[in-house]
Amino acid sequence: MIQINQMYFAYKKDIPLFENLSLEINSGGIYGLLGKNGAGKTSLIKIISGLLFPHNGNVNVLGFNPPKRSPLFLSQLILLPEEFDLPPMSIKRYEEVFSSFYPDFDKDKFKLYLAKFDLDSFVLQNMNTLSYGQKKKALLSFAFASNTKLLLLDEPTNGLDIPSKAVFRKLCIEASDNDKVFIISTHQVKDVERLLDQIIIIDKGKIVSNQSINEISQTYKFEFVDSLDNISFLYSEQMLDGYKIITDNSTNEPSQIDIELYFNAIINKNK
Amino acid sequence: MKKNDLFDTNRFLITLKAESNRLKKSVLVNLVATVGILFIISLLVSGISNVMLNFNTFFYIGLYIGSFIVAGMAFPDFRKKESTIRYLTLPASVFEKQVSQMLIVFVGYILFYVIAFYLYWILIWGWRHILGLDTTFFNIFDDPDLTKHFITIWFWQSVFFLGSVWFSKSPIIKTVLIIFSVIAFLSLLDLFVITKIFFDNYTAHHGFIHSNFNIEFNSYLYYFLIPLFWVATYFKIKEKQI
Repeated sequence: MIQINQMYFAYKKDIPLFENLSLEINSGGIYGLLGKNGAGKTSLIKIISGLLFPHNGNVNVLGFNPPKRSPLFLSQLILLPEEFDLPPMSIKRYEEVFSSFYPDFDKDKFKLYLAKFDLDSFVLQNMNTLSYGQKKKALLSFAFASNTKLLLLDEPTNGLDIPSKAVFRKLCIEASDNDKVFIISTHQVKDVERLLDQIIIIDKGKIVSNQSINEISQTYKFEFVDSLDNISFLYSEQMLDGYKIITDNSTNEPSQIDIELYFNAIINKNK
Repeated sequence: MKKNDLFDTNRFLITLKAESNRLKKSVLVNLVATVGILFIISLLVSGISNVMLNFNTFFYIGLYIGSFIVAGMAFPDFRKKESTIRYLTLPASVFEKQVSQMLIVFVGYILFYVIAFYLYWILIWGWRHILGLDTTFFNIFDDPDLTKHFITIWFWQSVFFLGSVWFSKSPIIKTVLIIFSVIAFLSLLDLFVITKIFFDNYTAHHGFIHSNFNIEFNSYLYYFLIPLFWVATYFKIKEKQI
């Protein structure tokens, strides 16, 4: 579904953001795109959606070359950026005007999602008068109802209240299927921890980890111990009352993943 | 290229609907402001005396200024980074997006302006009729230079249209500055180079740009430059990155 091969991209000449970056996503699912500030998560999302053009290498998304911005390609993707701007119209009007661009848009589901986000009483209100969180919920409802093959969400839980974060997770699972790729770029890993099928970690312009949750949980064990004495571990982090550690999962039985710990371990290993 | 990557009627119509929604405010504000100013000037100039109003001049002043401003305000989504993202990912081709904006700016605005101008004329006529003053009937088709005016308007609209894509912030002001810079450059070029080299009858006050030959040349140049600006606009949108 997404193939990026030996891609080079730079904002400034001679200071590459991505050098020989390769990434392959061949099956549907919910992918978490993680990385430090400035690692290039948003830029990668923009390259996938055709908003930025790579200088070298191949990028193929859903069988299209993104920089061409083919309407057929764009009708199969929705990008919800962290900062967005909405036209001065109501949610209802927004749906009337923009839903026709997406051939699989489900109007009933849109209504349902709005109701789940407690927005059903705001459909006739100008979207620009809504709060940031409400606007985001309206756009998330629209994105999920569009049924596009590719959904790119940049920090989707920013600005959402606590109940809405739970609704977001439910809708994410409800709307996803094997034919759809959801890429969630976020720093709020706790918000999406139990949601992700695969974790992609980007650091220093390269993909340093691209593993499924199953693979990670079968390969590693995430534990909390009081002391590191006589314990063999791959990575540890000192806490107030003990240590969080990653060890080899010799049993191969799935263990509960601590994504934050896993992320720090990968980034530290890459240093 | 896939079959309907460039143009699809259904997609074009929904794009036009979306663009109309986006541009209707700027078009309406512009129309009301232009015609409103004309109306106030008309009242101040001759609303209380029997001075005949030159509606032809009024019509073109309003049309020239209003249409340039509307063209400069095209592609409102390019004014902000966030709305540019939404615009560029809207599932329509650049051609469909551009043509729908052009229909609104180059055709729709002018049609609405004509309607608004006639409404203004009726208001003025009514006002002067109440005061017992005469008013000439205004018929745009009486003007022998109608085509020339429209070609000139479309030419300058095309310049401002390109400017609206080229500059994200204050496109109208920046386009006007560019126009003045280009005119200044061409005038200097005309004064010191072209006329001196190619024409012996060089005078500082009557160069090539102001010659009779060049007036004819200019009108042909418009036919060539208008589509050139449209093509430049197309590629500028196509190459836009955010």
